[in-house]
Amino acid sequence: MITAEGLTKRYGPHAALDGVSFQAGTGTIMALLGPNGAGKTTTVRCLATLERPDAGRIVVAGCDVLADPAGVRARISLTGQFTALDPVLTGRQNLVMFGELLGLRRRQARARTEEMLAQLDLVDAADRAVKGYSGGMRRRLDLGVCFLVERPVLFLDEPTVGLDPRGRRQIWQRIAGLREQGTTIVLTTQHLEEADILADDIFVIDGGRVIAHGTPAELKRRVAELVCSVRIDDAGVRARAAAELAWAPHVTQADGGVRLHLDDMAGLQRTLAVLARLGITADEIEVRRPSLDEVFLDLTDRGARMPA
Amino acid sequence: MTGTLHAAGTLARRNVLLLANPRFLSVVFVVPLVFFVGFAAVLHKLLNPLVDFAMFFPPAIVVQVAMDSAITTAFFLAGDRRDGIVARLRSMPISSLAFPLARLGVDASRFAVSATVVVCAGLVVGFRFEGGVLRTLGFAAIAVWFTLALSALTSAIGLRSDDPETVSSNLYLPYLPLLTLSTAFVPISAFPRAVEPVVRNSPVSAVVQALRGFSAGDITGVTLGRAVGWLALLSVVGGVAVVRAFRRAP
Repeated sequence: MITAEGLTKRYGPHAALDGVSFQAGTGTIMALLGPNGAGKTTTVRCLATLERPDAGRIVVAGCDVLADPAGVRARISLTGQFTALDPVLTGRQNLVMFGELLGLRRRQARARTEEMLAQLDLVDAADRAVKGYSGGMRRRLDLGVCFLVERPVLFLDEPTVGLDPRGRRQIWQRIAGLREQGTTIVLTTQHLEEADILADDIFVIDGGRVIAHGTPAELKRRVAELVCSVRIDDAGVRARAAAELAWAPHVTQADGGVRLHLDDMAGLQRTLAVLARLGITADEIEVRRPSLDEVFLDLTDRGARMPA
Repeated sequence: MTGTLHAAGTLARRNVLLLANPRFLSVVFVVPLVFFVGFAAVLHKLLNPLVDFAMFFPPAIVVQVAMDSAITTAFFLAGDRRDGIVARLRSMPISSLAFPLARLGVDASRFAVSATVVVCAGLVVGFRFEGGVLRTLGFAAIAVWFTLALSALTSAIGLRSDDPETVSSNLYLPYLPLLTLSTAFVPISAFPRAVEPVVRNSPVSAVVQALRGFSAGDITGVTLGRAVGWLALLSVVGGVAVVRAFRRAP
């Protein structure tokens, strides 16, 4: 449904995108994950015809972005990183206006507006000017504009910034619901939980390049199959345990404990045996899958490793 | 085409809604009157020995209001860019013409109301349309065309900025010399010889002279030709610039 090959975009000497390629299949959610300044927004702007790449090719829903931008615009819906609403108009007026601009007849636009206001919990605020809205309300309204008409492709650039946990969950449900209906969604996020919950496929980008690609599970497995954290309060015991467990792919001693990356369950059994043999009474053992946070830090190599 | 008009109509309705607040109502009705009364008070005695003040003066304020209106256009557009509305519209399947058309259409109508206020004030001090219906319509057409052409140019500038206040204060820089180095407020005979060619060939002079010709009923082909020439040139440059600026606005 979406293919990008070798996207390059320079701003002066700075390469915002340096040969980015990715695909997203029909009815899937593809997440572009990366730190600030990685090139996520530039990528979405290129996909949405707002920016012309210096080099590379993009095809969205069968339309080439450079050759047929109008075709692309008719098939996409975009919500940007910053809300794009008329601050003077009311929430209702904004939705009706954008609905009509998206090609709905006035009556349809009004009907869809009422549905959206109800779904986004904005009925009470519908007749107030948007400039008086809280950040979360603006965000919901902005997404509402995006959901007014159903397009085959949806671009969401950091869609849940500024939402509280409940609002975020509502939007996640909606995004997942659109996928069920066959919408192809490109989502950019720094919010790893968001990519983990929603994405079928993740492209991790940093410094304008794709540095990793896979499903959330695949990416986590690149770090380790299991992460085992053992809390050991005594520093001497902790050092001995770390030495005895040095065979594990990755061992760190951090304040109050030892953290291991393990490849499989056998590794976990071996760990427990070592702890027992040394007579270490581990105060607390936690075993889990790696988080995307760990993947992210591992891949982007920014910041110190997370403490256990 | 129907798509363009439908989108432009939707955006125009929104632009009208934006005007419906006290600040902009005062810009439309009160500010032109303040200009009129203020300048008349200062210039009345100075100009009277040189020209027929009642006929000479109102077209000057019409031109000034037209230029002011074009600056307001840029102000609105820079605000739309700041608010992300331009980017959102650019990602939607609407014609590149719809957004500028809606802005220019509403702003030209806003100007028409202000200009009517000015003309009514003029009628009070003795201004008259002495050339019949057709020449009166000619006056209206030139005035509206002038603000449309200027607004197209200022729109292109407004769309390149996301700071409405800066854009409008920057546009007041060319505004002042354009207005003062023209025959809007001072007849050509009163200018020093050195600046006379500049004044004679200024687009503002061309337009204000055409307005005076139409209202006095003695418009000549040359006067009209100059105004039409300037307006055609400004329209082409402004039209191309505004559509390009909309398409490229970041």
